[in-house]
Amino acid sequence: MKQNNRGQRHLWLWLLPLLLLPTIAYAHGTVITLGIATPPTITINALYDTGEPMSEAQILVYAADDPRNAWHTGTADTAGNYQFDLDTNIEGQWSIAIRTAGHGEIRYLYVARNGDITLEQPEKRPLWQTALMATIVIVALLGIAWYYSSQGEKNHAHS
Amino acid sequence: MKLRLLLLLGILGLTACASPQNGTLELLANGEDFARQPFTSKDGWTIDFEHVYLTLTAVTAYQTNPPFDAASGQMPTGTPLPHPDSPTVDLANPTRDDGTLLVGTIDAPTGHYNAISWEMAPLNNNPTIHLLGTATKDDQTIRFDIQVDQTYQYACGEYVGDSRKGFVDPDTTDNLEMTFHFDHVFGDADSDLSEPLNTGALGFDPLATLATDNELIATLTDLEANLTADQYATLLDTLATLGHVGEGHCYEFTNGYTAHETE
Repeated sequence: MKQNNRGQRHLWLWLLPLLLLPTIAYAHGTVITLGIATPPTITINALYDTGEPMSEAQILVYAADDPRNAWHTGTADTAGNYQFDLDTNIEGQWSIAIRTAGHGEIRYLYVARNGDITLEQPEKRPLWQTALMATIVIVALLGIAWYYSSQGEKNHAHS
Repeated sequence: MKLRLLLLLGILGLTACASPQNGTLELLANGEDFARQPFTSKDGWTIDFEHVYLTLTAVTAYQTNPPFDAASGQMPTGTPLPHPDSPTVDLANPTRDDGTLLVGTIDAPTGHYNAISWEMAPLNNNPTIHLLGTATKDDQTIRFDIQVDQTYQYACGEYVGDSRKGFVDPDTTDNLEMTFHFDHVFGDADSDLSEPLNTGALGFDPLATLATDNELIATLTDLEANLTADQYATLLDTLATLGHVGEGHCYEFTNGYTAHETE
């Protein structure tokens, strides 16, 4: 979240109660709860599905612009809790791996161009729509170029 | 005329940009140390596998967006990249320095392969799972030869481990791994015995009681006939939970998620 955007900061205040509601994914074996506290702070609570904490779970955070190399690493506390701050200047899909021996899960977060953080992927334009638009633009540009090319040759022939 | 030439070059350039460039995706299998080295079961037997054969079929990698969630109980819906072969691999005898085996390679369009599915099934006289080795406790050593002929079908999301996998760039190679957790079947004395890993495991004691002259040669049908109903159910459940992606759980379509039994 850009600190100089007062309007957006106020918007976050209104959305805060919603943001504090965690999303829970019940992957058998682990129950990972991600939350957005005060943006850009991300909270993690990692439990086994028995309710026991994933004590000292390894946390690996991968930024959207470099998904191969960990942007941040850390270790959960004995209760399976951890928090860190995202860099909201890096737009796109962030990945968080939470693991102990024999158990692990990767969860994803999304940072929008304006710095908003969401736990669900924003809807994207379908690929066919993007391809169609790109094709139309390319054909139009080629048509324009072809037209001017023809005009140039006509002028050249007349002279 | 020059403009037309430039136009032609532009079209060729655009075509070149649109052409997909491929890399290589390796498909690996990993039985972890439990398949490769002796370990102690939850009930004190030292399990030493000579061979851990698995017959793998329909191995398919996917690029999914949004990322595939194995908890959905569905098959991945992204772009599938199937591997045509159905090899039988021996997890106890890896072929690579990192302890894994190469199941196959695929010429792969670039991108991030963040999901994988596969089946394990009997094929060409090979059972689905064939375990050969010894179990030793105190002064007793039992040779075992156990064949399982059930079919299992796994759908998994992204690999969870020390590093991420499945990134294919033009003319480069990366891999995806199918990981098999045999401690789920026998338990692991190095872990807390009260953990679900151990409370939900069969161990080796029930199998040891079926041995004759310190030898146990059994199919799943034999085990169904001779184990108690609870023991047999535990065996079936834990066998179905073998398949993982690193530490990441999968969905197994005959049983559910591939974690330990928790009751």
